Amino acid sequence: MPSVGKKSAQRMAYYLLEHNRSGAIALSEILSQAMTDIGNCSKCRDYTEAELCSICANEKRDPALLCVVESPSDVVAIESTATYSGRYFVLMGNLSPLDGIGPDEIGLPKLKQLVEQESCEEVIIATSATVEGEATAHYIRSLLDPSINVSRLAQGVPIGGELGYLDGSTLSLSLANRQRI
Amino acid sequence: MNTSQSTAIAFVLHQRPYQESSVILQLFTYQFGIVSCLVKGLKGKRSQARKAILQPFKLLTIEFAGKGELKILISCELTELNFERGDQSAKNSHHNFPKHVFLTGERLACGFYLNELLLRALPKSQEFPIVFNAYIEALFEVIGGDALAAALRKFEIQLITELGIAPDWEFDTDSQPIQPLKNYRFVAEEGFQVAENESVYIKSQNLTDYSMFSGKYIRALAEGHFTEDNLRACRGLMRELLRQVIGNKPLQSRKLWQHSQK
Repeated sequence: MPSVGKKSAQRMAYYLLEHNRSGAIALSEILSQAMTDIGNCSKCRDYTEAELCSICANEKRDPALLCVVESPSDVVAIESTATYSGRYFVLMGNLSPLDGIGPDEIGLPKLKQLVEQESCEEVIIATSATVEGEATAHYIRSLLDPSINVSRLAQGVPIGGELGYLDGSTLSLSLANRQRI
Repeated sequence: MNTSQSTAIAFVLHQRPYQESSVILQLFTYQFGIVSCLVKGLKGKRSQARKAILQPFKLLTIEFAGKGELKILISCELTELNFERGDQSAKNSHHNFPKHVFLTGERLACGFYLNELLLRALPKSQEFPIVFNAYIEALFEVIGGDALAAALRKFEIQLITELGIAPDWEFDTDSQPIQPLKNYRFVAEEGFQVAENESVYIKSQNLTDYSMFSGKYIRALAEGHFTEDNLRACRGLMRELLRQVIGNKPLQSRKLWQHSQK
């Protein structure tokens, strides 16, 4: 389990056994319920209990705008900025040929189908700034119809960042992709 | 000097997450060949600079320690090294490997292909300095050149030559010189075998046999003369030769490359 080592797990187990059995029973029930009931949204592949997740089911969300992310936690991260009003598609991974993860494993045929069905106008690719993220982004671009606007998240100087402390790769990329003001 | 600590010139070939915040790198080093290296604490903001460096296609100087198969990375930094480029004219024979490389699309697929090939073909912890130089040579082309396919074929030839599994390019299995107009079949560990009778039969039946190659292409591959119309045949021949080291399991990055060419 992430962030819980052997010692912590032991402490938790003893604590629940000694002090909070009813809480542990409630926890175990909720966990088993979550494990059986939570599936993937039929549209965006995010986790949900229903057929559609709350974002895909929300009529106010702009269906013409689609943001492609790697994991459900990326959806939460973008949602917390409260600046995005479109819908999402969750890849649940990255195109990584050396790990044997190809387009089918990350549901790209489904993405293509979704974009065509919903007549999306713009697809924003929010994959990570790694070579695998780049490969994923490029693959999606070549997969979709050329008439669809496909953009990728900008990479550059972080807010509050001083140039002297920035790594060379990011800095050179921000120079290459500088913006006219 | 601490004997368990080593310095090497290296490229990251592959990175995979390990536990929560660490990664295991597969590195291709000049001095030690393929090395697996554990990097601790590589998630979060504080290690941003290291994360940016430890990406594929960047030339690094690394320090690592450890006696087992899995080493521990101690330090890493981008390196500027002068490389002699063999086949270039004298005036630009020295090149600095670019510090900041951003491959996209087809070029990235080529890069992945080179990396996957190295990981599949090379045994661990065995030095291959000539393959390392060939890799740099191929990367130069992948980054900025326009003869991508030819660069990959050249690299593959150097790879199988260094691994000692290159066939005899000059003579067939009956010790006769390979002739441009004859057809040959590749037999592992033996070489090119004349397949003249079979080819007549196959032609008469209107079949195509992908494991049969014209001597003309074998010569072209051996001499590195690549043209538009022989590259495709050379690729098929090379795939047959590489099967000896990578087995029958297809290379994943080949799929990506094929798609990016569409």
